Amino acid sequence: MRLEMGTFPVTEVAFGPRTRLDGSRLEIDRDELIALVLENGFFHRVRVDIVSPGESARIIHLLDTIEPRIKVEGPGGTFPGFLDAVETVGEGRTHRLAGVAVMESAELPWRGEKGLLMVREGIVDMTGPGAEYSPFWQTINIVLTLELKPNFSDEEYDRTIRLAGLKAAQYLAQTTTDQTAPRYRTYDLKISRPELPRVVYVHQIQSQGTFSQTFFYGKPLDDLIPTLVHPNELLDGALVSGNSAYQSLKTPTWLHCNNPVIEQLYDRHGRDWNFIGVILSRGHFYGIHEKERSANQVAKLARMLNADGAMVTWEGGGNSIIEAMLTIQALERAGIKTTAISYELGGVDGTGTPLLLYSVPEADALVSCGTYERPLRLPAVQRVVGGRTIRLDPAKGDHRLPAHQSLQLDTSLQMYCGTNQLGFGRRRGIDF
Amino acid sequence: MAKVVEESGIPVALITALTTLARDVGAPRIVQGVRIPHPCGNPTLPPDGDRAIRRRIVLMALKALQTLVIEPTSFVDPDVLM
Repeated sequence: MRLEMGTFPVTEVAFGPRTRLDGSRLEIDRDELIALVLENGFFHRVRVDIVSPGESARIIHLLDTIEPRIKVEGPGGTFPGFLDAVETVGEGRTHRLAGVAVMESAELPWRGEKGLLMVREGIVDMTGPGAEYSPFWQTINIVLTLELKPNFSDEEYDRTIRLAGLKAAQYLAQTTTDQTAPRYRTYDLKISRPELPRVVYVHQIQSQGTFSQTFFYGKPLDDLIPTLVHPNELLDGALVSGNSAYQSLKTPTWLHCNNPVIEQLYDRHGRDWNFIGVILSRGHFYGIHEKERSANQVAKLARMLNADGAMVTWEGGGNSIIEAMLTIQALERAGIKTTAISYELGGVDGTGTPLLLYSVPEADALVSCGTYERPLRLPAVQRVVGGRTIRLDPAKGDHRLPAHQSLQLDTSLQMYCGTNQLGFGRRRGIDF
Repeated sequence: MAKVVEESGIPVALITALTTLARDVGAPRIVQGVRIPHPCGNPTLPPDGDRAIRRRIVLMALKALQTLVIEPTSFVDPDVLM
């Protein structure tokens, strides 16, 4: 499977009479985009806002974030299972707009204190101390603020918001269909030096029901038994996120398509190692047998691939670390050298215990991607996109704070992708 | 907490779905629970079935309390697991 990815860097985004890409300037026909999103009949009103890096701006009520992409040649389509049929992707040619992100912002109805798996606040600050908590302060964000019509179910809101975001992303990428990209990169797992060590990537995602799900060719992964996938499928839109439970710890669709672990394993493929594939697994299982089964099956697949080494990442917090650690243990016991990226806890100043909720002796090579446990003071901002008030802890009630004012946060759990465990961003541990 | 209470001379049986975690922190008697959201029962069964599971778990915990242990020890009733 050979995928050619054409990248169109975008440095400016503005509204204009026609949606088009002129060099690195993206112009958007705002009315046409709004009409496209309003088609499904679930939204009262749709706003489209352009929010740029460095602005005194805060984006709130964030759900998924998607990079504009379109399949231009070869089998399959764009975001298969949602926008196109479920033909296998990861081959042919795909175009992407780099440096931009389509963001879904919607205030979902508060249905009372509901426990763990509800939508929580997701915030991006485009400047100031909160900015570096999210990788998306650096992208030009095209924010769709969706005002929801009342009396629909969570599942209906979830589905229609997702389709709106994906359609908008494809719509913008259509500006590249007849153009040649400034640069192309080929992704191919062909082995040129068979003597190099074989490395597999274990990608543990979160999928536990509406608002905390991940989709593979449109199918929710709630019942996933570990399976083998080609990294090109993930680069080419096979994984879509529907996960808004804990916004600092999640992987949005944008990040699934730009997975830094996959990029870097490809960077040195055929030079320092052979990247042999991706094993997809799920965490947060509720039963101990399910957790152990997941770990054992990952190790079995890795052995069948004759892996020498494995790189493990996982999504979300809490008990999903148990699957991850059991997976690391099973891989190491199978003789496969394993390393992983993890966030750490450590309390207010990093010295608190525990550092990790669970660990195994075999997990002796971990890379820290930071912590969400430090307090954070966000300054007042001039512009808020997505709403007027934020709801910091919906499990405790429908208490709101004005979003434009300065905010004292006890933890950075609301900062969008702030502690994402793919390591995308600037936060890391520097002292041990 | 289980470890500390045990060391004070009161036997402790911990009912949990996450037995690996309990063993890791040194809980003395670890009784296998059903699932994280409902360790002590199985609400996916009809009421009588759920009640029967709850009874089995409590009986296993009582049996554990009567067992002398030196290190973290598991007590599993296989019919309890989903």
